[in-house]
Amino acid sequence: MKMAGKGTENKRRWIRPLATQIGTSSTSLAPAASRLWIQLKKLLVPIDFSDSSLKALKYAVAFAGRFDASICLVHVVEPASFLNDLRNGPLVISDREVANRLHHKLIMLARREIDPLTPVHPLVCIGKPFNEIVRTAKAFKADLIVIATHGRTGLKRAFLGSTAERVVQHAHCPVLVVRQQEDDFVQRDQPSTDKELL
Amino acid sequence: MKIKPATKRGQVIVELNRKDESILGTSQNTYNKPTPFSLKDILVPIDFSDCSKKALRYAVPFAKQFGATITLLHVVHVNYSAGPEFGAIDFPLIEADLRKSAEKQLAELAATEIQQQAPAQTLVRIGQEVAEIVDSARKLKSDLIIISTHGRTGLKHVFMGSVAENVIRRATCPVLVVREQEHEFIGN
Repeated sequence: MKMAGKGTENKRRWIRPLATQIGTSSTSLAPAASRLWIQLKKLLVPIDFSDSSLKALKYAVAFAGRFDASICLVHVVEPASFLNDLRNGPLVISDREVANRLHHKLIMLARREIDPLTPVHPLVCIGKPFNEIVRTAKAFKADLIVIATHGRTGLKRAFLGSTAERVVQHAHCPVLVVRQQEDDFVQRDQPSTDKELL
Repeated sequence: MKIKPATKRGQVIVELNRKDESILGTSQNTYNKPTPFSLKDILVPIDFSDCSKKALRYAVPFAKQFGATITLLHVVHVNYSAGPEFGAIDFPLIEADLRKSAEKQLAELAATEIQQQAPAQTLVRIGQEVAEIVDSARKLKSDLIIISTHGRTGLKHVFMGSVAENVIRRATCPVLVVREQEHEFIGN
């Protein structure tokens, strides 16, 4: 218990130097031994509109609020190669059309879930999910990718694959992997159910 | 708010200002409040490579800024299959020895890398890396695991495996994966 009390005290003390860090005279505030700071300016959150990706977004929002970071939301549309060949079919919606609709959906999501003061860049890409995520992260110069995983194991994993895993392998920046069912370090007001996020 | 006649009959144009946003019931009302962080315990698995020290480099600012405790974990992997060709092996003795030396090294690492910047504790466990890391995270109720990966791909990846990857798959808490060579968000 004593430790916890001390912890919160620490937290308060350290927020201030971080805020003034943008200026030049930061070193005088922080002791010489502790010159390393978290400088999170750009977060990238891949969104597939599943509950778990919304959870990743929750984490990102909390981080962004804390560090004044901007958030880039990426949704990747996998090209439906077979359907694309049927260009004249009246029922077929082109990838571009899908992308446009999802872009709108992404913006609506951003309005609902993200602090109005946080800059948001909604993006829809067409391609292989992990590839596009990694590429976008590089282009956006993201400091951190917050991604959700379903955490499948065994056969399910072998077949359904895991975009998160591949992103971890190929990303140029640190990756925070969040899973759907787990112990959170972002607190919620009520006991959580995933429905609550929607 | 301004109301002007439109060119068509029977229609008007309503102009709204920023002040009038309350009429529309815009996003401010629907937006959920941000959730506070409660990051109390960070688990950092250490294998004494430079790569794992990098994870520690991330853990320290995190612990500092969130007021968390750092737990340094080293897992000793004893190869029990080493046969009796060279006479009987006293595994308990070896384990005790390894444990002692690992504890000493961890304490040194904590002294040099963490110093007094954050409360730290060390933990040595014997067993298989991934299982022990995941299990200690669960037992310690860690809020975050910060782990580094070499980021091998292709064949190398297949053969040398990745502890980090398996930890991601099985961990019960969020995992921050840091890689050896990369863009960093920790700066001076």
